[in-house]
Amino acid sequence: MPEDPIEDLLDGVYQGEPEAGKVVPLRTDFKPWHKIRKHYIRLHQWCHEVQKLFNDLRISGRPFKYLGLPGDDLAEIYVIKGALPEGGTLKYLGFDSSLTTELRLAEAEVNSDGKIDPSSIILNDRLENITKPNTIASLHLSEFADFDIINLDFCDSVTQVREGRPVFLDSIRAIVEIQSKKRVQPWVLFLTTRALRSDLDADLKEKLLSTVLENIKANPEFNSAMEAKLSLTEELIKNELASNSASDKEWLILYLLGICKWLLRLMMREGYAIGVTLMPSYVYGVQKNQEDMIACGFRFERVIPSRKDLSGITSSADEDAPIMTEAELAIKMIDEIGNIKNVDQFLESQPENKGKITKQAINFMKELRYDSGAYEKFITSD
Amino acid sequence: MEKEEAALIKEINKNRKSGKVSKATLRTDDRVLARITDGIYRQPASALRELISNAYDADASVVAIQTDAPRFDQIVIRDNGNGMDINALARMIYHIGGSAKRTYEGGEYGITNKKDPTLTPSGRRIIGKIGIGLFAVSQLTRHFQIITKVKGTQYRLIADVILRTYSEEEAEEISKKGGKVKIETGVVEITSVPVEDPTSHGTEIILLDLRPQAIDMLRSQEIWNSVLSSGDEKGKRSLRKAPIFHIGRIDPQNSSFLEDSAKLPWEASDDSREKFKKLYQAILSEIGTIESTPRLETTLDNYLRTLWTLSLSAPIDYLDKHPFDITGADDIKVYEFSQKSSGQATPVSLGKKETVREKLKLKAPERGSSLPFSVIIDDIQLFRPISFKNLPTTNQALKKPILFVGKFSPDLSRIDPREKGGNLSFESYFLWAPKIVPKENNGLLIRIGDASGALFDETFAKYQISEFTRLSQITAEVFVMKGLDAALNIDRESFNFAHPHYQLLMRWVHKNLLQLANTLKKLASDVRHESKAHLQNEKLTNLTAYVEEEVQKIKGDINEVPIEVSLSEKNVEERYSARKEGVLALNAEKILGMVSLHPSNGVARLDHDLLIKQIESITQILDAYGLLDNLSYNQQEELLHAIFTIFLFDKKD
Repeated sequence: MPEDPIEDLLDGVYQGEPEAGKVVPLRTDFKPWHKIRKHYIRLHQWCHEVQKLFNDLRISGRPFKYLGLPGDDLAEIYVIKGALPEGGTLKYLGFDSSLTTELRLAEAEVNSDGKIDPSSIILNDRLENITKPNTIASLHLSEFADFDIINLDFCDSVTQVREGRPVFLDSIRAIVEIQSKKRVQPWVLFLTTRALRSDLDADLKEKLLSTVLENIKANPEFNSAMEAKLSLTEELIKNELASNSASDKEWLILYLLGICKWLLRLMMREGYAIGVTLMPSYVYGVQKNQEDMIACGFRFERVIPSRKDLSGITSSADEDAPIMTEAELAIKMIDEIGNIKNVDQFLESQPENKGKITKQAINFMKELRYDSGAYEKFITSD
Repeated sequence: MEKEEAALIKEINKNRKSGKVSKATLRTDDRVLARITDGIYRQPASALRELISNAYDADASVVAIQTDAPRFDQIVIRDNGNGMDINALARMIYHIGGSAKRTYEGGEYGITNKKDPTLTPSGRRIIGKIGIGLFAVSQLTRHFQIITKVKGTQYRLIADVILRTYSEEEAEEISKKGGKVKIETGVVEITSVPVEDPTSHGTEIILLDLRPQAIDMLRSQEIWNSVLSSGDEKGKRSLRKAPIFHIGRIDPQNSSFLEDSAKLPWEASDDSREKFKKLYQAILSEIGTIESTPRLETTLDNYLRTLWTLSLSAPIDYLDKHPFDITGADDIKVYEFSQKSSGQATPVSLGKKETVREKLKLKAPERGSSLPFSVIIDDIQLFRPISFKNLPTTNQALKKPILFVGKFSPDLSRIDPREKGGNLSFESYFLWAPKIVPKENNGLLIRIGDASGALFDETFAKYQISEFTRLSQITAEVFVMKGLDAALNIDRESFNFAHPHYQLLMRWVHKNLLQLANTLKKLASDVRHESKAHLQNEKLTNLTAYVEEEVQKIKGDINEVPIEVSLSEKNVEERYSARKEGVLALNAEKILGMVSLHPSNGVARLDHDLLIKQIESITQILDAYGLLDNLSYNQQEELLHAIFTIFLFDKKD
């Protein structure tokens, strides 16, 4: 089209009439992550681990640093802030590519008590932009890093592939790389992901499960533990790769094991030596009687590869202390996967506990400005 | 209260239960106010300055500006001040330019102190004047949101404001209809939402749909365009160099990407209190690298300069300490301006722990309240960028900075109140230093209530006496305790020169500049008499050695010696003959012009010898670079005369 010189001059001078942003006094737009089980995970996994880490690190005189994908009600920011001990402050970096007026209002609300560091920001960007060099997203990540807690709460699968790349796994890689460069103290990664086999790219699936198969080959103890604790065998994995033959339950466990092994291998590769342990984790179903969501947590901690002075010139008292190897960490992960808890079943089996969590969830949602009456109906219908 | 305002309050209260949006139209019955609301400020930084002032006036202890720099799609200004309730918000909407600030009515809205309307509820001196500060955001956008809450209320208000561009045509049309119809300046939609924590309070301003030109300014687009365009053509002289410190350059085609990474004088992990201090130190350390006196204009990009400008205007603490808190233990001489109209300032002797404030009974900054106030922008806490320690020194006669202090509270009781303009009282310091860094810190800055919209005035309120060198070595601030407010124009960036308070202040400043000059002249003369002869001889020797070293560097040969330059040959024949011997003999009279070749006294003799030596040295350096090769002797003499004349400018005052 020929250029219009007048249009060129007008361009950017007139932006068009803006549209007023809308909020509602009491929200009723409930989402699956507003269900009771999610609140159980928030309290029993997130809050618990936040408090534990805060105490372990004896944080004082600095804010607790958090990276997340908080959603437009900032529920997770409320939870983490609430979990901090008296006097603790939170500094967060969030990613959200559709900053709504509700989110801006929620940010004003969560910031109103002086417990949030003033430099906290929800960046109008996609998380996956951190993987590209020279992006605003990667710049902010590197300026904010390091973090105490990273919480990647995906609605879908972390193994999603877009334009040929596992964008979320790439994102995790970018985050742990920057953490490993900047951080000396332990840190925690919470990961919530859907584990649908149908969503998984064949090539990625093969690579993910190969990490498990290679470990089986390299370490018979890993194989024994896997068979004993998880009822998974080498043959089952190979059959799954060939013909998707594992049961849904077996697939879920295998998927988690694959993620765990990938992370562990990544962090224990040559020159890194960062141990990864799986923390108490949970599964639940998007649909009733399903198990397709995993809420897991990982603790990252530097391990010392060798305490010995190989020249033999010096010696120290603790040089014979056991060294944590990748093989041992992998077996520990299997133990934890074996203990994974189905939150749906647990809450159904514990009516008293469920009642307590329900009350806490109602109060929490009220704090987030949701309509209590409507919320009670929402959870009842669930 | 107007009918419209009362109706809006009623509607917002009613809608608190239903959740409906309450709509209001921003109107003013005054064309001047409509025009003001549309924007009277020159720089986008003014908008941020006004919002910081509003936070201060709302008794905030912290105001944080958070952006997604260097992209600038997001700008949020958040304070923990008193906030606005329904009545205060409605009043603001229906009384643009008629702020309840500085009125007893303001006390009813929780905006001002109930006992003294010139103070905030906590007792701070109010900065804002007529309630147009918020509309300074029109520099940045037509669309913004205010989220505000008052302590003790069960609701939070969110007001979505869309401003309208002022049109004279439209105003004319309204005027034709009888002039009583108000001019519409925007629309507001207000929603009230419930809160769980009634104790929280504060205001947040969210700027939406930022104007492209404001984004370009913050991204320093113009600077980068200029830098890049000058590099386009081979051999073309660079129009502009990239700023030494900057926050990075955004890709103009895709604002999610950076084209150039930031170059900052701090680490991201540095404490927010340290970053700005490092910026100040970095500018100081630029002395002599590119410019002899670093300028913000060339050192910083627009964003960093905006931080600097805001740090000068806000009522915040100094980098180290207030000049009145300097003690006898600090390495700085202090003088007090005398009440006499001429003469010299009086030296002030301070005990090791005794402050200037204690000794001279000074009060500034009299903010009125002990409530702290800090401004944090993108994790950088601002401080007033003026320091009184570790300042650059020189090898001039006076090497170290000197602080001059004074105060003025004229008795104006005999003046007719209709003319007086109220009482006037202020305190001031003039810091003389061999070099003022950055250059933009040179001048006079007037603070009212410890805030200022104007920057340093390098003319010192139009000081007419030619004291260029000395004036360029002064940073001065006036802290107005009483009065002058009426002389401050409504943009808070300039003064009404005709106002008697401004005239009085100007005269006081000029009188004391004379005192300062007299004092410095006397001090310098004393120092010169003591050490000049020794220093000059040493200088001549050092200069010879220096030139030799430089010529060797230029020519890349340690055996090279500078060309012998001679200015002593009196006639053409003698010069011809000397030139034949390889001496660059030039006509001294032509180069030196009117300066006598036969100085009469001892001190002048040494000055003269040094000048001749300097001219010879410059000639040697120019020759070493080959710059004299294509010039005739005549042209060489003209060139050196021009350089010499420039040198003499400094010696003439």
